[in-house]
Amino acid sequence: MSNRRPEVAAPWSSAGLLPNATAILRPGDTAPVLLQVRDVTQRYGAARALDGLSLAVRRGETLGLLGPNGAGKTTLMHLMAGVLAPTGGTVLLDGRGSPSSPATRRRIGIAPQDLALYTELTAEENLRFFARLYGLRGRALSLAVERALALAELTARRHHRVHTFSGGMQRRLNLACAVVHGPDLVLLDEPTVGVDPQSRGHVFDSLERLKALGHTLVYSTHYMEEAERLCDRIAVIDHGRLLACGTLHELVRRHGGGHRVRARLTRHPDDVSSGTIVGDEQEWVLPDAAQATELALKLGSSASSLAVRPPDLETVFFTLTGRSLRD
Amino acid sequence: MAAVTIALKDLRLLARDRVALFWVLGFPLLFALLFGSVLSAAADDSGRTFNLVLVDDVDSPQSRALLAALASAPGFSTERASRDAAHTLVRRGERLAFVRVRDVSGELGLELGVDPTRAGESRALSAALARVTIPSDGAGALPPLSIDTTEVGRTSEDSSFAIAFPAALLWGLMGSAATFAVSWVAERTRGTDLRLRSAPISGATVLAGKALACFLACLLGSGVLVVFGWAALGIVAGSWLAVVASVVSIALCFVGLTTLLGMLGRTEQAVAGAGWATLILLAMLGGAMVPLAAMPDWLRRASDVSPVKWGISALEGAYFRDFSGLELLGPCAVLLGVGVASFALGLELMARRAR
Repeated sequence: MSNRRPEVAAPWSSAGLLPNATAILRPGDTAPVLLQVRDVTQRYGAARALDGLSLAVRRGETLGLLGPNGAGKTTLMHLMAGVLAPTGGTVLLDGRGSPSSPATRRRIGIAPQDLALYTELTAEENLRFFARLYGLRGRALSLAVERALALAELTARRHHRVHTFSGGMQRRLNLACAVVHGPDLVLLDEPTVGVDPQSRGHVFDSLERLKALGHTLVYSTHYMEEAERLCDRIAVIDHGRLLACGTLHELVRRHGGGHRVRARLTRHPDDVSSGTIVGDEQEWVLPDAAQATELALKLGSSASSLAVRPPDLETVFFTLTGRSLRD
Repeated sequence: MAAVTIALKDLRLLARDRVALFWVLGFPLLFALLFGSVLSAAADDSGRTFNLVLVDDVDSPQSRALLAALASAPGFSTERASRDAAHTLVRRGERLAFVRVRDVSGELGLELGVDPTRAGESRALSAALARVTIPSDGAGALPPLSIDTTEVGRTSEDSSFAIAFPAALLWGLMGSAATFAVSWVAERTRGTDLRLRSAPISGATVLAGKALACFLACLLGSGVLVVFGWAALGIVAGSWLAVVASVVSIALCFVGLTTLLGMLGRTEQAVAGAGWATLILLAMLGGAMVPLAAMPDWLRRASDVSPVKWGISALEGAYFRDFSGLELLGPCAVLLGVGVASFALGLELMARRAR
């Protein structure tokens, strides 16, 4: 036992909520790159889960990985966490550390898609166990556990066994276990999957607190509303390839495909050209909101139903892949 | 129709799970063959052979004639040895008994030194000896003989439980080990292995941690049994140090085996089933269920591959066979070898799975 690991400093500032390892940075090109994924390929036999994918995550930002099931999001997460070694390409933290090395893994936390908890242990016992694996001891350990319990809003249930928790509470604890050691980079693999809407809201509150604390987050999801609400930038992935990456505004501007006006007309106004026939409706695609509003006003008195849909992630995804995200 | 569809699906799943397939088809076959062989050997007295060591302390024409009669009698496999060598062979459990011809007040007498763990065989041996030494026509050249029977290595203070205790202890150790085999795969099924693999520790450290837990559980379980045996049943070991060495060796062996078993299965059910089935198979082959003496010769030779046999041998040596350090080294070395090899194989499987 003489070869004891030295105590690791508390990952959270004892004075407030700020983690001392990370500065709060809003998305901006000036923030340094924390994680670099370069031309990464991952093969499983003949199948390619990832196919020459490259992207960068800046310090302090929240990057969303948006794609349908089987797009390669989880594989990418596992590569970033160092659980898998890529078949080709490199993953680097701060430009030099590979996640396969223990020193780099110490700076990463992952909340797996499936709950990864010891259900016969209490919430606190789970957190203490995982924090110890990262070298936390003594006061630093206790402080880290307190912060993680607070983040997950589980302080009152700290001594309860996990199997007595609701699905949402387990999800929050799953998240807390990923951040208890104060990582620079937090990987969140569909952290709200399979929970009811109310619990999902609680989980999302925890995620927003995490973001407010300045953690760098990589967040995989196939829920557009989550990506829109939480992420500074969104990477659209399908068939293991990066199709587009940018802020929501950038993606919509580049790939949104315009504002869609759809109407079921009782008579056709004279000053409006014919739209595309979609069933018993007509649809017009216009480049900006002003033109869409003007058209809607003209159609208003002649339509039994009328809808204006601005471009969003759904249309971005459809434009990029030719199919709906939920297909 | 739906039931048939479900059944076909389950059979297809079974066919694609080679490990499960073995336990459903291969294992019962193996078990049936083993039990069949043991039971047929036990039922067939005509094929029984008594392995004896003959000692002639008198060296007279009569004593030589007596031993020659024994050597040529059907059902006896004999060899000659000095008194000390014969005693050692029986004490180690390598022979059923020694037969020593000695002088008893000017008459020939027989001392039968038997292995205390083979009491049933010893009784049959006494009867067989009487048949040889007293010819059925009553007109043999041999005078009536006195036969004194002693149990080699066992003292009169030994509890009657002492003989069975090593096998009981081994079952206890197997119980601890089998329970832990499941914990390996449980990490995978509950997803926590992903967290362990993403932590800044090596796969070998994870494996070592799991192995240590299994080892300590084995030690704790056997410690409780040993203390219970001593306090409640009066079982005193010939050497407590040898008991500790034996238990540690057996525990390390089972830690290795459970590591390997844990890596082979994909579900907790598969590993639990496979773990117990493997251990029962090894126990049966190793003499923890059916005495080795009841097995046919080929199966007794095959029992060398079972670490259970070596575990029982080490524990018997420690408890009542008075093994020296050197004698104990053999079974302990086999146990450690099996443990290390199994652990290394488990580690390799874990690394391969991670890749």
